[in-house]
Parts: sequence; C-alpha cells; structure tokens
Amino acid sequence: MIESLSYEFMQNALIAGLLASIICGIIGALVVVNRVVLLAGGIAHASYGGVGLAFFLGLPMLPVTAAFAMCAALLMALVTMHAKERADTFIGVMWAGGMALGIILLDITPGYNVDLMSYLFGGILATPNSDLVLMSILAVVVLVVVLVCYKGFWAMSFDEEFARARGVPVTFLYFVMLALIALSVVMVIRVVGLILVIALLTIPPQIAESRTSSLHTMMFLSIIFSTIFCVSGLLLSYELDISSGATIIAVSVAGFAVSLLVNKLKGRTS
Amino acid sequence: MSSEKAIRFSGVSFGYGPHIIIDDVSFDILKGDYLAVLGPNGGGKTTLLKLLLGLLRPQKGSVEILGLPPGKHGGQIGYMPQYTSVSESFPIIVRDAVLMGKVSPGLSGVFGIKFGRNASTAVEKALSRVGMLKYIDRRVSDLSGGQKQRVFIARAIVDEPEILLLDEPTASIDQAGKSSLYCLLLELNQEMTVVMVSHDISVLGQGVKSVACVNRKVHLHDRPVITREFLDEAYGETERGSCPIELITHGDLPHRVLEHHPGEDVVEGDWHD
Repeated sequence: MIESLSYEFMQNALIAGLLASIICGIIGALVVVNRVVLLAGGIAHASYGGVGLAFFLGLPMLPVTAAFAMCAALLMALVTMHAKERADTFIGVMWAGGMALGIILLDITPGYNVDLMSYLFGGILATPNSDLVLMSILAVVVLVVVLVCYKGFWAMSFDEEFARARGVPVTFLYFVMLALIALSVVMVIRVVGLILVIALLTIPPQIAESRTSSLHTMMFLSIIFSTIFCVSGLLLSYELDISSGATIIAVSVAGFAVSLLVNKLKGRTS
Repeated sequence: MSSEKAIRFSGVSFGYGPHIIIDDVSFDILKGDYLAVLGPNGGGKTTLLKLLLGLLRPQKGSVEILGLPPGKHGGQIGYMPQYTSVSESFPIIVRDAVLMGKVSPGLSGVFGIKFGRNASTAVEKALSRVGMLKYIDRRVSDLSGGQKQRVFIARAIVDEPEILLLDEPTASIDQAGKSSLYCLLLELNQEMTVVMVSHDISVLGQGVKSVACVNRKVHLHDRPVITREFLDEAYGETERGSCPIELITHGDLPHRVLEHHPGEDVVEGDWHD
C-alpha cells in the first residue's frame, strides 16, 4: 500500500480527494442544514448539459459547464422562491432535462466520443496538475466567501424567517450559496463524478451534524470525515483493483450506516 | 396603556392573485397593549404579522409600526416566528441561538463573526428572564418543546425591543408549558407591547388586554371577552348545535365557561341544547 503512494497519479488523486473534501465539507454543511440536497443534486446532474454544450460548440469545458450550472442554479432558485410547492417537480425536470441535453449534444458532436461513465463516477486517478491548481483556487474562494459571510449564512441556515425579519438580506445570501454550490459541483465533478459529488456533499455533513453543537465545527468535522472516506476508498480501490469513485461512495455509505447505528445505540443507553 | 400608537394599519389589503387574504383593514394598537390575534387557520393572522414585519408588502393601504414603515425598525421589534420555521436538527447551543437575536440588519448582519461587545451579557440577561439560564450550554435540539419556545422568546427580546410579536407561541407545547408561557408573556408586557397570534381561544383568560379577530377583516375588541358575534366573525357563522371550539382537552380543572353575549337570547346562545 505504501508503494502506491510513490506514484504521481496516486499523489494527485489523494490531493484531489483532500481538496474535494475541503470544498464539499464546507458547502455540504450548508447544503444539509439548508435542506437543499435535492437542489444540489439537480444542479450537479443538469450541469451535464453544460458538458455537452462545451463539446458541441468546441469551447473549453470548464467555463461553459460552470456558466451552465450557474444558470441552472439561478433558475432553480427563482422557482424555489416563487412557487415552493412546485419546486421539487421543477428540479426533477431540470435534473433529467440537463442530462438528456448533454447526452444528445455529445451524440451529435462529430468525431468526439466522451465516456459518460467518467462524468458519473469521475476519474480521480487521472487528475492532471492543472485540475489540482483550479481546485485549490476554488477551495480558497469557498473558504473566503463562507468566512466573510459566515454570520449571514449562520443566521439564514438556522431560521430563515427570523433572519429575514431582522433585515438580513436572505435572498442575496441564498443566491450566493447556490452560486457556490454550482461552482463547487462543477469543479469537483471533473475529478470525482457527479454521483460522488452528491455523496460527498451530503454524507459527511449528515454524520457530522448530530455530533457537533455549532455550524463551523460541523463544517470542520465534515471535512475530516470526507477526507477519511476519500483516502480509505482510494487505497481500498487500489488494493482490490476496483473503480475508485464507486469505492469512495461505498466507503461513505458504510460510514453513514455505522453512524446511524451508533446514534441508535447511543439513544438507547441515554 | 399610553395613548401613543405602536401599530397602525390604514386601509390595508393583501392577497395572492385573485385570492384576497386581508381586505381593507384599518386599526390602531396602542403602546403597552397585550393583544391576542385570533381567527381561523387561513384567515390571515400570519399574513397580518408578516405585513407588520415588512416580510410582505400591502397591495393597498399602509402599515406603520412605531411611526415608521415596516422593515425600518432595527432592533425595536422582537419577533418569534412559528415553531416550524426553525431547522430542527441544526447544531447550535442555547447561547448561540439567543445570540441570533443580535444579528443586525443589512450587510453588517452578513459579514464577519462578531456580535458587538455586550452581546454575551445581553444573552445571559435574556435567558435569565425566561428562566433558561441554566441551559445556556445545552444543544437546542435536546430541549423540550416548551423550553425551546422560551429560548426563542429570549432570542426575540435579547435586543430589548419595544414590541414583541409572537406567531403561535404555544402551538407545540403541553398545557402546563402553556400556562407558564402565558405568565412569562404577562410579565414581559409590563415593559413592552405584546402582540400574539394564536388559533387557541384559551389565551383569553391569561392576562390579554385586547383581542383582534381576523378573518379577511379585522375586528378589534378592547376587552378580552368572547361573544357569540365574535365567534361568528372569527370562525364564520356557527350552526345551531355546533360549537367552533374544541372542548375536549387535557388540563387542570376548573375550565372556563365564558359569558353569553349581553342581551342575547339564552336559547339562541346555547350551542348544546
């Protein structure tokens, strides 16, 4: 296992896992406490339309997908705010529609055959250095924005209605949050795939939530759990020679099950 | 009660599309009042409160609170939203939950992590007023329904408001919790105007000074009594033999039976003949 660490692709994969954990730990905590998991899932899947669009138009993938995901997020935010009771249906439609658009655009793009699987489960073992740089920049952006707006996010996440009545610009914060989610999802998809993004955004924060008594420790714990899942999943996938993305998810789900069990046992003794 | 106005609605209408919720409503509430806002579900009670807070804008007419338009009041209004607005499993201790009441409006409520120098003293003071100081380091999600409501009242008064607005404060708590909550509100009323939205008519024996009954229209009564007409206004015409109030409940004896409307025919007023 130690010798695997001497390969550059393994080092890159571990760094990518760590960066994804930092991004997903912070943003995921916001996603979970604000109950926008479905919305985040919708953004992740709809952004596949952006991937298709980028290849179809022959433009660089990252900016096009990021812009596409941001637009999808904006649209979903507007609908969630103005027609709450229809929001989940609409998100479902965008979720499926975005993916279908991506697949069709890739189909009709001449001479280019992108592997759909790599966008679903990612190619963390093939992370280039340039992606590590971009992810580092995003991790810093996420950290800075959340730190600067921490009080606002905190108030909004706990009790949106109270925050609004106090005059906190909740709508503005909501849009900032969704923009951060869209940006994070797109960055992390390249490495870990859109299915893993949802797993990393929801499972570690969910485990962390009941074990902390403040939002910032929840974020910190999420990063720790997420890192543990990524590293152990990666090493396990290397040892057993199975897909890395799916192994990381499997380890996370196992961790989630253990956490539920521990919570249940604790509830029985106390 | 002083003669200064705390709240003024003049000709206010509000609705969603063709569905009118508040229809041409005008009334004044004086400073020092303890007002119960009663009415059926969907009658517009919460809408009225949201208009007051500036969370909704009236389509017609104007609302004034402490002489200012809604939303411009800074810390002068304490608000306790409905129980359901709080994220249930959110990781937070009582101290921090009350500190939320110190969040300032606008962008200064967004940036940074600090809350001003005296915030921690104010939090302790507010918690001791609601009798929850010993729980200051407990997780909010570990508290009982009544304890949570006390914490949220502490959050509403931590900035020492002139008006306290509460939306269904007793919705999630048992009878004993209700009674002690009403005692607390009565105490707070000595220092501030209290406006409480409720669907529970039993608030009326609990020190409330006046009653507003809301069902598209608003009727203000300056005594906390229920008449048959009042019930008709608030809950729609009651059929003979039916009673709009849930009479079977667990609680301490004696229960209250309220007077007939003066001058009303006894048989007419008897719903259980």
